[in-house]
Parts: sequence; C-alpha cells; structure tokens
Amino acid sequence: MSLPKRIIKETERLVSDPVPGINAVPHEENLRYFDVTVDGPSQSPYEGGVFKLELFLPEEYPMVAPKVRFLTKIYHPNIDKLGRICLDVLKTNWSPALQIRTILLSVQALLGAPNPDDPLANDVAQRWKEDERAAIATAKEWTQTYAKPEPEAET
Amino acid sequence: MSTSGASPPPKKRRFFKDDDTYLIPVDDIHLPKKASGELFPKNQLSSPRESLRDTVTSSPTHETPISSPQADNNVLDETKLEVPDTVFAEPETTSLIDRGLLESITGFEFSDFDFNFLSAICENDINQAVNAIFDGTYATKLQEAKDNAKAVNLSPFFPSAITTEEPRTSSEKSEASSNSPSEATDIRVKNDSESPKITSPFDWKERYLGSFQVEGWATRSGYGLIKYGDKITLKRIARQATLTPGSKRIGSKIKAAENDIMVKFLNNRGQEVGRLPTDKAKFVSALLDLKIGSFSGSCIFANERLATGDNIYLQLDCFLSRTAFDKQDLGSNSTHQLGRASVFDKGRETSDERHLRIRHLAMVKLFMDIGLEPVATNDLIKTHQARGKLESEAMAEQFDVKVGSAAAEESNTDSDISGDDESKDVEQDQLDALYRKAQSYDAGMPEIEPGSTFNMELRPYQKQGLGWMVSKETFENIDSARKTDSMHPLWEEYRWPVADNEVPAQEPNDRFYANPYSGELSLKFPRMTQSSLGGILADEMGLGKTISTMSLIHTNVADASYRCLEEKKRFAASTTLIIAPMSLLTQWESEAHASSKTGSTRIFVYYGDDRSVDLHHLCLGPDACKTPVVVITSYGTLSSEWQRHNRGQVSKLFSMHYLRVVIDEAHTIRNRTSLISRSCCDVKADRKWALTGTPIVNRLEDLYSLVKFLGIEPWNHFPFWRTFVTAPYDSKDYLKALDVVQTILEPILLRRTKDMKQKDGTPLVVLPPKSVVIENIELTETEREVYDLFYRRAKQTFTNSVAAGTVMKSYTTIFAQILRLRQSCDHPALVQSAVNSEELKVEDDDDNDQLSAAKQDNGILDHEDDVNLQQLINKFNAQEQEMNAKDVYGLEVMQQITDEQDHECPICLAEPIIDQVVTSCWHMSCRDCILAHIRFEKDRNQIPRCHSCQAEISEDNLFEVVYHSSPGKIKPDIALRRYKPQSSAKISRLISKLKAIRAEEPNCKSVVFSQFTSFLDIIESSLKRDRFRCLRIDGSTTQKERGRVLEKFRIESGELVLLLSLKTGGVGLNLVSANKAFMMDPWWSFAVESQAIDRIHRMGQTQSVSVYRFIVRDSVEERMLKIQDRKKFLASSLGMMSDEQKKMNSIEDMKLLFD
Repeated sequence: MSLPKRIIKETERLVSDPVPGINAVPHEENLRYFDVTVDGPSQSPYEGGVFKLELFLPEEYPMVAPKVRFLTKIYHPNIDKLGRICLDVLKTNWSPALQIRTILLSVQALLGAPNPDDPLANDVAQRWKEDERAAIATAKEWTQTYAKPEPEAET
Repeated sequence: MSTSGASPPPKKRRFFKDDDTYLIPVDDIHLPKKASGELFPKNQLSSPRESLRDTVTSSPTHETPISSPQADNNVLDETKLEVPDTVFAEPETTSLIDRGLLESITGFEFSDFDFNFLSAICENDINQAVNAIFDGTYATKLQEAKDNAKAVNLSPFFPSAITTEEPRTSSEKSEASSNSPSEATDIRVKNDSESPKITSPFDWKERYLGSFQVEGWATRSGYGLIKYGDKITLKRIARQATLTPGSKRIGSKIKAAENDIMVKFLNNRGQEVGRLPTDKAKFVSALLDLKIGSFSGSCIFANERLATGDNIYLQLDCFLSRTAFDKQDLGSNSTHQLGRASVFDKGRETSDERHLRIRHLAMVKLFMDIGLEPVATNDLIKTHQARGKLESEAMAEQFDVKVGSAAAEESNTDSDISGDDESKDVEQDQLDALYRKAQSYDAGMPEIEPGSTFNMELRPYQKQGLGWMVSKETFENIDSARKTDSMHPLWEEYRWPVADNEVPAQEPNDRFYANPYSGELSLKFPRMTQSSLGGILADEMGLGKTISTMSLIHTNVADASYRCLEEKKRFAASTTLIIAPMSLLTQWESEAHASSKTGSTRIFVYYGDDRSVDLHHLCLGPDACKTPVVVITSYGTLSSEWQRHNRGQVSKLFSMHYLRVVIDEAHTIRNRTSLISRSCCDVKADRKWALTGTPIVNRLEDLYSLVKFLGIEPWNHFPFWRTFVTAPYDSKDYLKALDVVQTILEPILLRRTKDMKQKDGTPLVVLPPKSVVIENIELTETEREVYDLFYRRAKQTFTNSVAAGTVMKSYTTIFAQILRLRQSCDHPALVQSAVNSEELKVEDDDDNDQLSAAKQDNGILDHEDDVNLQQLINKFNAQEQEMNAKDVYGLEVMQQITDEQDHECPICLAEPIIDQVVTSCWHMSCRDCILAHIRFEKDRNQIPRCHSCQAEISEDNLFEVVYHSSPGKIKPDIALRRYKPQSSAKISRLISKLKAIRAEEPNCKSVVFSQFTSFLDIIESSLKRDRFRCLRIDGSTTQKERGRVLEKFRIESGELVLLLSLKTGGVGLNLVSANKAFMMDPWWSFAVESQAIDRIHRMGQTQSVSVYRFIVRDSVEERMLKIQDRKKFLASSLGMMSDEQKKMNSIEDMKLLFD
C-alpha cells in the first residue's frame, strides 16, 4: 500500500521544518511508524527530560488520530503505566486537519499542564490531587531517573 | 321423333349417322344428338334452359335422374358414346345447309357473314358445318380468313362449346359444367346461352392440356363393367340433393362443396363404376367445380370381374376451359394485383380468396400430375417454385382451418414431397451461390465518373456505386432489356400439348402462361412489369451514401426527352426529393451544397417555416434555373402533408411527380403500417432510392416496406411477401426465407462494407484505429442501496411472474422495473421520477412503452421501504442552485476564499485545494477530503464536525466554489453552489476521465452518449461545474438548433463535449471532429451503440478513436453485456426475429438479468 501523499508531505515537513523540542523519525521499514522524542517543557516537572514515544499512523489516518504512546516511564496523571495518553485530540477531538506535528505539540503541552481531573493513571491523579508537591517531586525524580537525555544525543 | 323409350340406346352413335331416323323437317328442327333420339323444335331451342327443362319433362327416364344412376347414365352415355366416333369429318348427308337447323343444332345464331362463311368452307354440308363448328375447324378457318383479309368485322359468333378436341370431350365438359341433365347437345346450347357471345373467333371453349393416370377404385362389383379402352365419364357428386347427371355446384356453393370432393366415374353405359382416389378427386373436383377444366378418360386396366374396392386404372385427359383464362373469372382482374392485398393485409380470407386458393391448389396439382413442364420460366423463382407455391397453400390452409379441406392438405403434403425431391439439390446449390453473391461485392464493377457539376472527388468504390445506381435508373432504356421482353417473374410459359388424336394446331398461339403462385392462367404474355427504377443503397455507414446519392443526382440528370407521364404538368422533371430524418436535414443540405459546384444546383429545404414557399410553382414553373434540383424534407413533414393530402387538401409535396425520390435512413419506414411508411410509398417518382445502412433492423418485414416503397413487383404485394418470406420464416425455415429475401434483394441492393477490398486489394476505407474500453464503475454506497432496492423488487416481480407463468403478461411491468435498474446505475436521481410519478424522460420508442409501463408501475412503490427509498433518492436531488458568494458570506469571506484558493487543503495537504468547497463555518478543503471525512464520521456514528472548528457540518451544507472567468477580468468571479451531495459514480468517472483527457490532449473533442435525457441533464450540469464546454442535442432540440450545434462542434477549436441522446445522436450524424466517445449506459443490442460509435469512427476521421463504455460492476449493466454478446450471435446466425420471438428472447434476457 502506497503511502498517502499527506503522510509523505508531513514527514518531509517534520524534517525540513522541525518543531523545537520535538523529534519524529519514521522507521525505514515502516514509514507509518515514527520514533519520537519530546523534550519536557520548561517550568514543568519534566523539564530536562527527553521522553521517547512511538507514533503510528493507522490505515484510516487522517480520518482517525495517530496512535501515540510513551515509551519512557513518566509520572503523569494523564499517562498510564503502559504509556498510554489521555488526550482529547487523540480521541474525540481529533480532526483530520490535525497533523503529527500538532499532535506532538499537544502531547508536549500536556506535560506542561497535567490534568488530574481527567485521569488515566488513577493513583497518580489521586496523589496529584492530594499532595501536588509530592507528586511533582516524584515526577521530577522519575524524569531524572528515566528520561535522561542519551549521551549520544548530547554529543 | 319422340323419345323412343326410357332406356338409353344400347350403342353409341354418331351425330348424323342415323340421320334418316332423326332427321326432321326444317320447321321441326332436330337436335343432332340422337342418343336419346329427342328432337327439339326450333322454338324451344331459342330458350335453351326451357328447352332443357322441357326435355327433361318429356323424358320420364330423365326425370328422376338422381335417384337413378341409370338415368344419369343415359345422358352421359350418349355423350360418351359419340366420342369414340369422332369421325365427324365424313359427313353422310350432303345438302344445302339449313340455317335454322344448324342454329338449332349448335344453339348459336349465325350472322349472315358467319353463315355464309360456314357454308363456304363446309361446302354446304350441314354435317360438315356442325363438325366444323365443334371441332374447331371453323374457328381456324375463320381465323385464317381473318388473318388474310384483316377482316375486322367478323361477327362475334363463336360456338363456345367447341373445343379443339373431339366433340364428345366437349360435351362431357359441358355436362360437367352444366346444371341440367340432358343430352350433350342441350348442354352445349345451354352453355352458349349462358356465356355471352364470344368476342373473337380465335376463342375456343376448351383445350387439351394433358393426361395422367389414375388408380380409381370400384364402387360396384360385377362382370364386364368396364374394360380396356372403354371411355369413362367423370361425374361430380354434389353434396346437395340436386344431383343430376354431370351436375356440379358452382359459385356461391363452392364453399359448401369444398369438403365434398367425390368424383365418380361412369362406364360407357353410364353406370357408375367407381370413384377417383381422394388425392386426385380433390383437385379434379375443384377443377370441375370451378369450370377450369374438364376431363375425359378411358380405362387402361380393370379386372374383368370387378369387386368393390378393386383398382381400376384410368387415363384422364384434361382440358382447360377458355374461361379459366379469363382474368375476371375469379375476381383477379390483374396479374399484377393478384394480391387483393388489402384483404390479405387484414389477415382474412374472403370467399374470393378461397376460390383462388382452391383453384391455385388444383392447378398446381394438376400440372404436377400431368407432368407439364414450362417451356420458359424465370430463373429467379425456379428455386422457390416447387416448394414455395405449395407452401403458400399450406399457409392459406392455416388461415382457414375450419373450412380448409383436409384433403387439400394431404395433397399439399404429397406435392411437397415430390417437389422436394426434385429441387433440393439445386436449391442448396443456388442458395450457396446466392449467399456468395450477396456477400461479395464485385470489385470489378465498372466505375463511372460523376457529372461535371459534381464538386467532390469520389473514391473508386463510390464510382462503382455510381455506375450501379445509374444502371438501375436506366434499365428501361437498355435496348436488350426491351427486346427480350422479359416475362413476369412469377409466371411460367407452357406450350399447349397435343393430344394423341389431335392434329397439331396451326395457330400461332400455341402457348399459354400459368402463375404457379396464384393458379392464374393467361393466354397473353405476362409482361414483366417494370418496377420503379432505383434500388436500395445499403452501404455500411460511413461509406458515403449521401455523397453517392449526390453524385447520382449530378450524373443522371433529367432526360428532357424522357416523358413517361401523361400528366406532364405534374412532372418535376429535374427535381429529386430527399426525405430524411429531421436530424439529418442540415447535414443533407450542407453536403448537397458541398458536393455541387457553386451555382450549379439549387437546393431547397422544405421544412417548418420554409414550407410557405410555393414548391409546386418552383419545381414546375417555367423558369428552369429556379427549379430546385434537390428538395429536402423530413419524414414528419411528409407524413403530415400526406394526411392533408388524403383529406383532399392541397399538399405541395404530393402535388408533383418527381424525377427521383430518395429516402435516407430508409429503415425509418420499416413498419409498413406506419404513417411514415405509407406516406413514403405514396410519393410519385420515376426513380426511387432507399438509403440505409441497416435494411433489416430486426424483422424480415423491415425489408418489405422498402420493397413496397420501391415498387418491386411482385414482392410489393404483401400476400406474396408473406407467403414466401414471412411464412417460411415463421415456420422456422430461416434459410429459405433468407434465400428468398436474397433473391429479391440481389438485383436491387448494393451493399459494401468497410472491410471489403477494392480491386487492388486495399480495403474500401481505411479508418484510424478504434479502441473500445469497458470502464468498470463501482457504485457508491448510497447508489448501491438504491440499486439493490430496485433490484430486489424487480427480481421479486420477475420470480413471481415466472412462478405464476405470467411473464408474458407482466412483461411490460418487469421491463419497466429493469428500466429503473438501468437508470439507477446511471444516477439514482433518474429514478426519482418513477417515485414521484413524474414523467420519465426517455426518448426512443421502445422506451416509451417502458415509460407508460413505468407509470403504471408506480403503484408498486408503496412498500414500507419506500420512505427509505425516497430519502435515499432525495439525497441526489438537492436543488442545484448557484448563489453569489457575496450574498452568503459577505465580501470579507469572499476575499478569504479567493486568498485561500491557493492554500493547501488542511486534510490532504494538497496545494492548491482540489475542488474547493466551503463549509457552512467558512472552512475550506478539497471536496473529496471533506466528504471522506464526513462519511467516515458518519460510519462511526459520529456527528461530522468541521476539521477546523469542530462545528457540526453535513454534506448538504457544503458549497462548491465556482469560478467564472470572463475574458475582461483578471480575477475570476466567484460563485458558490451548494454541493450536490451525491453525484453518481458514473459522473465522477466521466469527469475524471475528461480531466485526464484535458491534461493529455488539450483540444480534444468528446461525445457523450446516454439513453436518458434526464441523465444528460445531470451530466451537463456536472460538466459545467467543472468548466467543460458543453453542447447538447437530444430529441427536443429543434432542427435549426441542431444544425447550429453541429456546426459549432465541427468548427470551434478547443476542448468541447457534445452530449447526445443515443437515439437521436446515434443515427446519421457526422461527428468526426471528435475522437473520444463515452457510452454512459449500455443498450440491449450493441449494434445500436456501435452505430453511435460510428458517428465519430467514420470516413473523415483522422485520429485514432477511443471509446469508453461505462458499465457498473455487478449490476444489470454487466449482464446486459452478456445479452449483447448473445444477440450478436443471434443476429449473425438468424438475422432477425419475429415479434413473438423477440419477446421470448427478451424473457430469456430477463432470466439472464436475474440469474
């Protein structure tokens, strides 16, 4: 199945016009599958972390949203242990006018604005509500532990 | 002398042998017949009937003749008895002829001239005189005398009872045809008085035709009843009780007698000995009854001791009576109008026709039994004659089964067999030859150059065609043809045979003529009636029939000296009337102009408003240079004028006799009962031409109309046609029917096909290659829903009626449903009309039937799923409105729209947006993208929302942006048009195809065909939306508009799409400026589509041609392709079908559809 023009175009643009703090590279053997890294937004518990995600464009894309999942462990009320993300534009608010770029920006924004009222990871959300400071600390800790930028990336 | 007794004289006597016994004083005239010895006073003879009656009464023996065969025999006996003593040549008495006696003997009144003449040649011997009268000597002599002296004033006297045969024969015959039982002489007398005086002395009463053997069977037993050499007498037994010796039933009683065919024969003592076998009796009785012939006979072999049922072998000599040659005889007053066509046309057999048929039957059988062979016959019909003539009877029998005699049928069978045996091989050979002939156009035909005023270059084969046409128009002027004086093709010439004991006749008129098809006889040479000059030019489409015709008009101009018309005043001596379908008038006009040197030819189109011109005056006026050489009119005009003409009003078209009439697309008149057909046949012209690429559309009868129009004798009489073409065809004897047709056509039809080779081996026409591609269309889902709905319904109806065995009855209903199916393949909106009870816009005749059926059928649509269906269909019917975008959105938005037109589609990122649409929330995208989005969401049961603002959106609320570029402006005007939610798959495909073509061949012209004008409507608006330039011709296009459109299509350069309805555009038009054709929907027969394709793939086409046939996958259309294949096969194997067969076939087709 040939790749729709739209995907090609998006991919090209991700390369030619990259979004700061976001990196998405398709697999060579499957151009619908992207390795993604998202920098934790500044002034958030995730600052300094580089989070790995996987992004897959389903057959119906862009009629349906891409499938996005965190590969890096993250302490966030809207992201569960498996890395699944609770984000409206990935679900009900998806529009075909959205793109990979905009989705990843949304994900990045989600890191900067956790929403414990619409939780996916209930324990995390609970804690976030009860003791936000402690929760943020844990998040920072996890970021330090799991989301350390790769040495190669730095060099 | 008085009757000596009741018993007949025991021995035969000669007329005058026993003069002494019978001679009576002059004032007391005796009849010459002494058999009964009665003498009749002269005064009695003056009224033969009375005298006969008197005779009977005076002869007790004869008074009860019926009950007593003996009595019958008496009379016959005498008659017979004399026969053997035919020796009238030796008169025994020599005396001055007593005129009164002679008159009483012969029953004639002699004029002085006759009497003197007679006296002279008979040397005043009354015996000789009587003999001379009765043996024909007198007639001969008189004729000689007349020949010598050229005497014009010979008295009309002629004893009609006289035959060239022995008197006994004639008396026999007389008896056979006489109602009264009496002596032979009496009968003669009576006959004479019955038939008025004969006009010419050449006439004779009867003439020997031939002999045949019969195996009769005895009806009585006994010893020495009959022996070899004995003369026998035939006696008809009428069913009614008026049996008298030799009596017969004639006239109105024929019908009753039809079943009564018994013929007895009597021995020389007048005793009934036996009867003729049925097969012989059948025609013998008919001949006797109809007074056509009479018989005498003798016994060839019989057992000495006869037992009932024993065979008796007889020889019968047959004599044809003079009256049989009388054309008035059976109401057939003209050899060439044997038809009483009108009656036959009505399918009823009148009593006249029954006479004719019985007579025909008898004649054929008689000739066959006698073994009389024509000395000359027409080759053309040789093949068919043996079988054909008989089958015609077989057919006639079918028409009147209840009256038709079983016996007659038997005889048909008999002769059928023998006929077959004789002619089978020949027939097959000839058949093959005919087919070869039909198929190969002779490349060696002479070419002739067109007249000097002709302005075009003809191709070699066209010059040959011209040569052929010219020859067909000048046939009559060819000397050889005149000299040979060809015989009418249906007649055969026979020579009078000579009886054994007869002196060969000296007279020159030793021939007679018989028509084996009708049983008619004639003494006069049946001249071939010259049909109208002309013929059928049936070249395949694109070979230039129009040009050929024009070249003929220029080449074979009126011969000023040639005037065959009495009414010269009406003869438009240089005018050719061309009748063509309305759609072709313009083309004819322009071709006529193009083919004529400027100023050489006046061309006049007689149509519509132009009809006010005084055509009559123009054509017949004194001013020759104003006379139009070509007058072009339409079938419609002609038939309306014809109606007027028939109402007795003045019709300009019918007020003249033209030099030539040409009907174009001549298959238009194929229905012989149609107004058009009849009016064409009524046009008077010396030369008649029919142009058609398809002389046979689907029935052999199609040809009949052409033959009738051309006046091809005798085939233009429908009874003939029916007998030789329809009947064999109906009885599945296709080859035979085709054979006949081929025979008819061969001399009048020229057909060349594109693939024929010229002399040098090159094809007649080399056309650029043509590719026909089937475009498989997938219906959209909604379309599929609509289709499936109709399909289920149609199938249900069909299956039900198959189960109920009422397929034939519900034929139209089913057909209407199939029509819907086909329409829904095009565009679901087309079936809207069916739902709304509105009229279907369907053009052709066939579909009109369907249309009415469809109307009736609307009642069906009250199923529960109708609501559903209605909704479905409504989706396709959102009114298409264009609105000015400014009115809707205001300038600002307009600006945005204009600005964004170059932006990319937010959904597919295409740049610029393809088929820009605007949502109701002002957001733009490609049409397909937003539609895909909306459908996707709907499928997931989600409310579609705007891709940009998440506002709810729907298909119905999208607007297409339409740019109207006008030359003066830099920025195009923008208009918004509500998106038609559902365009059909076919339209989408068409547009994408056209776009692809636009990209590849920017200036390509295309033609789009559909059967449904309503579909053309939709296509038209869709094309315009996509900025294609469209032209259109359908049935509603006026003539003038047509011409304008065609001209525009031809002349204008650049991309152009012409929309045509299949029926209107499929015929005649020349569209070679296009090289792409789209067949939007299949027709039942590919021939129709093929004809349409040939509009662009014809002479003059310079580019290769691509044809795209749009077929919806997995639909009725796909199956129609199969049916088309089947039809191709059928058409090539059989050619054509009857109506009923067609229906049956259609039902077969339906089965295919619903499999």
